[in-house]
Amino acid sequence: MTGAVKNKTFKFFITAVTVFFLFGYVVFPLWQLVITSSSGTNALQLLNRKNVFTACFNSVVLSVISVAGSAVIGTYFAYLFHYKNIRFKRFLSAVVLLPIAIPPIIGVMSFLFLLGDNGLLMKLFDAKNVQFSGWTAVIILHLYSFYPLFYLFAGNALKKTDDSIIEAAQTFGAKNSKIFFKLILPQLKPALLGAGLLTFMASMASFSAPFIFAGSQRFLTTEIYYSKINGDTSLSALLSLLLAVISVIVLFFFRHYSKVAEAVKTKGTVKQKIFDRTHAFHHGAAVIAVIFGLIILLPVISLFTISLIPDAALMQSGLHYSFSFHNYINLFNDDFIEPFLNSIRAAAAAVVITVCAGLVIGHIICGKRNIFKTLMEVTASVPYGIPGTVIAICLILAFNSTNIFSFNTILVGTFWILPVAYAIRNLPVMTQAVRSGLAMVDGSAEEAAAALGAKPFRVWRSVTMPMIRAAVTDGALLVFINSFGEFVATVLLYNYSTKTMPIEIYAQMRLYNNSMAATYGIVVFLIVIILVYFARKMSSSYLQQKN
Amino acid sequence: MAFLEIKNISRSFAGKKILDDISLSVEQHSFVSLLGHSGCGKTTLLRIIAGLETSESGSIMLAGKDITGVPVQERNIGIVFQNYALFPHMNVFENVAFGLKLQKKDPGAIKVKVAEVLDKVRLSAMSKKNVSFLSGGEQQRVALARAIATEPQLLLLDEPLSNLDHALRIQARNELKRLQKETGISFVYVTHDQSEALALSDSVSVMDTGRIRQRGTPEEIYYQPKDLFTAGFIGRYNIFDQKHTVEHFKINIGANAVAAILPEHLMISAHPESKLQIKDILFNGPLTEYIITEEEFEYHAVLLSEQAGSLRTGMSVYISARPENIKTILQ
Repeated sequence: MTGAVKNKTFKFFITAVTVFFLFGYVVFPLWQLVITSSSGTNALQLLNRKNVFTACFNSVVLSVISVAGSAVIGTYFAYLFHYKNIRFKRFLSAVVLLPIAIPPIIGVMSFLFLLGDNGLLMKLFDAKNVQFSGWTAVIILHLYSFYPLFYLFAGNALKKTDDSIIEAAQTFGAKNSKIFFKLILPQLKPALLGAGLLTFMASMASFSAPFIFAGSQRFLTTEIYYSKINGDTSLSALLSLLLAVISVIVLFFFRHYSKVAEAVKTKGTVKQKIFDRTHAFHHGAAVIAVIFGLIILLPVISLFTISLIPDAALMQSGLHYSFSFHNYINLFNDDFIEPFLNSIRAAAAAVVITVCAGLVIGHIICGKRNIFKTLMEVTASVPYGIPGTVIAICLILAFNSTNIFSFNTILVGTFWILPVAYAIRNLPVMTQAVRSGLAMVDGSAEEAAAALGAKPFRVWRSVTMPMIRAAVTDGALLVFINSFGEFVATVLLYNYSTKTMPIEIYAQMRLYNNSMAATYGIVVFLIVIILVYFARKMSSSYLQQKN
Repeated sequence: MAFLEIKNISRSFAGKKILDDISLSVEQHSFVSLLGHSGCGKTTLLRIIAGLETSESGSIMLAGKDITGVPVQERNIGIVFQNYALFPHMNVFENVAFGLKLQKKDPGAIKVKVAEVLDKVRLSAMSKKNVSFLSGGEQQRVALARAIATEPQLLLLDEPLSNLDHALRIQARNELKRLQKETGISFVYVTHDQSEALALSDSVSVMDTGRIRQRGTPEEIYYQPKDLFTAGFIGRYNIFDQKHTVEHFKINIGANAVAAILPEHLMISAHPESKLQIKDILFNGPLTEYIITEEEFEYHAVLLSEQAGSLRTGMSVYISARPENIKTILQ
């Protein structure tokens, strides 16, 4: 907004709200974490323990492997789908993106039902000696979850490349492999760095996969959980701090490098596209894509299959099952409805909080830069670099006593700690959505409204808000999806009466009610897929409107 | 006192003076242009009049009232933006009705008024269309309709035609002139296009580096430029120093002055002994332009194409001008 459309009291009010929110729910909990981790038994002594070092080392190694593996798979498929004409391309490219929409705990469960001790594939091939656990299992899960990031980023970057340089290289006699490594890959560098950052952070923060599959292997996130459960608060705080510090360092490292990569990117206007020239279908590529698509779908298929089989039958050996929708009918009893409603309530409340906070913060930090705004922006993006486990520990430390930010109640143990946790985790998502929306708002349209007599709030309501509505709705959907499937922070913050769907799924698995867990999983999966579908549809209609 | 009276307005951005003690008056029902290169401060002046920008000093009086500190919402001044600034989420009708709704007019009256202004800009058939699907010329007319619907005391236009192609621009120019006459609203029009300013305005103010160089009717600033900037910017005058003036036109203008002659007033005739040469001939339909060189100097002469005769590139020529067409500009 321009100066003329702003109003001093209004500005003071939203600034005060922003400072209160950011200080109370970002700075204050982190500060509590630092205090606690340094107050317990000698922090240095704890750090020297071999377990702590192993957990750190394992987490970093896992992240590096996840990034490298996902990069290869994701980039390869982006290349395949961009340059080769494949039958059923639209469907296959949607399937390839599927894992991104599956909440981690559901993904983990799907793999367990596919490849675990009693897994469908194991039974099918009668493979008794194969153990799906430890490093291999965790890495496969990570590759499954994270390669779509590379696929998305590299795919978008490929759309922006100029294919006429490929033709130019071909006139010099360059082979395909040479063209890929010397011409295409360098252009993808900024995108790959971006995807690499997200994957590394997500991998460091990953909890569900190590929690279920790691067995005796130690990772930072699981160590934090176990030390908290065992009552060693200062150790869990210290480990959390360690994890947060590593994540933030990596974040800044990547940010720096991607800025450099962005700067050397060439700018062009006319983009030639050559991939569709022959219209001939590429059968080799199609076979690879179909096989890969099947691999992607298998865990979901097994989840669905398991959900159709009554639990009793599941325990028998062999594959002579009878299928029924019995489990889906069971969904309508009270035991199920409660966690379902809890998830909906918590996610909805998180959406309301993040939309309000995001709108206010987004407005504050747009426009001309100054130190205060930069400080706010950095603070608002801090939760982006902090794993869910750490956020949960921070909240436990900050809100297990009364203070002004908890409005004089003890938040820990109540329902409200869940939406607060989800809101903090998703604050950067929302702030970013609001900012990108505001960046597209034509400042002179706001001025035009003011010149026609509209007061600041009216300008905001009639002109600014409708123009950023699509971006905000997009962000809100994303926040809802993230919150609805949240497990990492929830598992440290819930109690029996506030348990959510992902917690219930985990509980059912612990009770060996596998088919019920699978049924819950399918419900969460379907809800998430429907929301993702709407989110994508809206962003495309939003783009059309822009054109 | 004039209808709009601007006195001693100054404004700097980041230490650079954008407006330097500007004063300007606009009579009621008149069409006034601010003409200058981009960056001369004309848009900033317009935004200060609108109340979108503040000035560091000076005052603005509108219809006898001091509006210097009045917020933009309460000035009742209409603006047409360079990029039109239409509300993309509203259709044509809603865009035009926006200001009327804020004036709390009743829905019936709004409908009548919107229909009336849409008719004025010949957009009646487009009322329900989304503004994103309109052509550039149509969008420009919606912006105009939206601005005049609230019957502002003053309408500010910031290069409203610069995003249109040439043919459309000529047509839109005529429409603007007609609309100003019909509505009687005073227009303040910012442009960098000389022909636009000359064709439309009752009065033109030539701006350069934050100052008004000259103000007058289009004929005055075209035929009687007061300084070299105006002479070069408006009429593309040929400039001769004292030595060359004596040599070519046999008159003495004094050492601290230059002679300025319009291209259409410079006469040329073939003469084999002259050291002046035709370097290039640019045929432009009704007119033909001759570029004549004399050592490092270059002059422009414009003739009606029909009267051009037998002049060819490379010919040696004499130049001459009637004494009444030679303007003296003191340096």
